Amino acid sequence: MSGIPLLSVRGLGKEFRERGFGSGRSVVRAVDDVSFDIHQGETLGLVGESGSGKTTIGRMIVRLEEPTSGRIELRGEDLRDLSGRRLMEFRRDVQMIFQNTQNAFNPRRSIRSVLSDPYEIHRLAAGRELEERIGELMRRVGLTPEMLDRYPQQFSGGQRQRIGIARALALQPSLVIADEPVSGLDVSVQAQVLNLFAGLRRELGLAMLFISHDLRAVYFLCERIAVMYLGRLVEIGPRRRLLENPVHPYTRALVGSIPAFQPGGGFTRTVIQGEISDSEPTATGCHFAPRCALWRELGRPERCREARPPLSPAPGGGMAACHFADVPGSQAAEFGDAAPGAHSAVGPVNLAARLPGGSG
Amino acid sequence: MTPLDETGGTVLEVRDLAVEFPLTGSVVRAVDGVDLDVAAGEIVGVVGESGSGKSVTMLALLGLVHRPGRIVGGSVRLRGTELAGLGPRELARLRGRRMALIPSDAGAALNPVTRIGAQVDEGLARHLPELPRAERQGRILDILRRVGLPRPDTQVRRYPHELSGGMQQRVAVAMGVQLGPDLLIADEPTTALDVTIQAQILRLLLDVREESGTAILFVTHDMTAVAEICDRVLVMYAGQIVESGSVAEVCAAPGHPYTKALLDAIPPLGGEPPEELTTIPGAPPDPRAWPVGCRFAERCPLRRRLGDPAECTSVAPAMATLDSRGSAGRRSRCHFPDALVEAVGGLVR
Ligand SMILES: Nc1ncnc2c1ncn2[C@@H]1O[C@H](COP(=O)(O)OP(=O)(O)OP(=O)(O)O)[C@@H](O)[C@H]1O
Ligand SMILES: Nc1ncnc2c1ncn2[C@@H]1O[C@H](COP(=O)(O)OP(=O)(O)O)[C@@H](O)[C@H]1O
Ligand code: SF4
Ligand code: SF4
Ligand SMILES: [Mg+2]
Ligand SMILES: [Mg+2]
Repeated sequence: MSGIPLLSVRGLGKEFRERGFGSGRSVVRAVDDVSFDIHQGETLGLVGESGSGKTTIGRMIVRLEEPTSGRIELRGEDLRDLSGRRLMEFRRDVQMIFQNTQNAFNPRRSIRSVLSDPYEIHRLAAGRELEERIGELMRRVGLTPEMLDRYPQQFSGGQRQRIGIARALALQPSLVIADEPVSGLDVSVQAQVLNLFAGLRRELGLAMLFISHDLRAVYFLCERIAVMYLGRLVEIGPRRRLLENPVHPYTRALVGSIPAFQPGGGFTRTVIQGEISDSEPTATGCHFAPRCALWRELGRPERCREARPPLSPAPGGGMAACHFADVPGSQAAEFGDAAPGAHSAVGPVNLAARLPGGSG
Repeated sequence: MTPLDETGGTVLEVRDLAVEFPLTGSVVRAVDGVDLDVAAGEIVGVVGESGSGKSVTMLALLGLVHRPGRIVGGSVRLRGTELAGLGPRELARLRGRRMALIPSDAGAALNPVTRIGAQVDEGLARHLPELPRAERQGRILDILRRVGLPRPDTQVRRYPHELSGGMQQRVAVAMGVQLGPDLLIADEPTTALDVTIQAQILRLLLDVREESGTAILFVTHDMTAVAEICDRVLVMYAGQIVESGSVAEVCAAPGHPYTKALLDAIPPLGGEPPEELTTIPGAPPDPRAWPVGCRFAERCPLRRRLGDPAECTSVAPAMATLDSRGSAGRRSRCHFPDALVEAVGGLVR
């Protein structure tokens, strides 16, 4: 794609000070030198283990969190330079759908008043027109206007999630940061919402950063997928290439842990081994090394410990951050194959063995 | 009735359970005549649309339906003990030790101002007060390690908001399994988790079952997860169970059009994605006034295909055995389950 991207993220970093005792306070690098673009009308999927920094990236883009380093540009304009009317426009143009809708609503306010807010704050509609627009919004997300006078706690989790989506869509933003927007939904409503997002992109050119752990949903909606590991972007590329020929050892393991739909076939996917997300990140070298099967296979090369692997072009499109991305075939991740051990990139973990009196 | 495992016997037996929420000027009957059995060592999946009553059913089993909501009928027996008449204090004593809940949203369920270690300790201290403090500490670290929480010794001193969603959920799983309950109710325990941690937690549930013979009710919207870990599945729609049976049989040949629609809506993986996913048009009926006939009628593709038979909208279908298919315990709530068979096949994903 050409031209100025709608959203451009460059060298983005975020550090949190850890509450600590005795030995002073340590710093958690939640996001570490992340760069990517999203173009008008494009949906980028953001996946990665819990705690890998996905939500934090989303929160920085909507200015709920101040970056420690790097820059974020919307249509070429640095977000830090926004103020006054431009900031107001930005707040209309970029919306976030939150991961946790349980606490996202004030229990004393009806859904009507929640959905009226954006129109009233931005003075966009009132009276009959407002009524029509919020009614239409409710129908769009698969609810009915008759539910407008109910309160958040009178809805099920899935229904509340759809209200969150309705609220984000109210101002017709050009970019939506959607953090796990379909994870609370049952599959049929999820399909409706995914179709809804796909339709908004087709019809209105809506662009989206779609954060999700559901690789089926990501695969359906997102032309490109970005994979995070411990604050770093380890791979980004077109969806088919990424799923069918993952390059980075972590991506290979991730693809191997997607459940196949084989009713009665039992539990066959790879369980990724190791202490996850919160393991001490190294300042130098590759974060993934302690769990990397390729590193072990290659005889633990020093290079992985000493130099941070840069994102470099990957065969078949996109980029991957691995010093040995071009090592062929050593751990073929045949996509779609659910045989036990087929994706032993990180080796199956035997949790049973760790339980007292474990049956192995 | 479902044949029960002779060795472990029935852990949970629910008959004709009904739960209502009074609203101004109307009543929501969220759960309407639910029967279910869970045997020791069995994992039973509960799937169904948002608002179909899964969570309210589970809360009712735990005696946790909050006022003004209340159980208006039916019987709940846990290892033979009727829970319907028990007071709040007796139920509280059973919770944690005999039956435990793993909530879907640990972020909301954990106390924001209490450190993780102290929260895990609450259940231990309440149910095992005789255990020395130091031993409890050891058990806390052990259980947190078992659920895959990295660096448990550091995490116990943190507050919930300092943990990512996945870590919070693992803490909730730890709290649910730590006392080895007879019945574990997991209400969408992996909904907010990435696929790798989801795999770990499903694996953990399988191990808990294996070792302690714990019966597990696993509420989810994820059919792929049900297919992986459950023995049987219950499909809920509009406050009722509309289909039950072994996972393999239900997925291979659903006996209710709603189940079939749920399976069809799973997004395919690989290849060129479709422009649109299959959805179920329309919305579930208003729980304040359930329709007279079949509750799925308004959205039912099978009914349309059959030329709109009168039974669908005039007679409420009962849960009936599907004799022609598979093993005993295969049941569905549809007047025309056999008409579905020809429509199935090719359920390969
Ligand atoms: N406190 C309440 N007051 C009024 N109605 C309620 C209340 N709690 C739940 N309901 C209604 O009960 C029905 C069932 O809700 P429940 O939360 O059990 O659904 P669910 O199947 O668990 O949905 P989800 O998968 O989205 O969590 C819904 O129609 C809901 O609106
Ligand atoms: N307010 C905070 N204080 C301390 N650490 C935090 C805070 N918010 C997030 N973190 C840490 O940052 C990392 C990334 O978190 P998050 O962005 O929530 O991940 P994800 O959304 O991918 O699950 C985690 O290690 C988390 O513990
Ligand atoms: S750089 Fe080395 S440690 Fe890192 S992913 Fe590649 S092979 Fe593994
Ligand atoms: S009874 Fe009729 S409307 Fe109901 S599920 Fe069966 S065919 Fe559809
Ligand atoms: Mg998150
Ligand atoms: Mg629920």
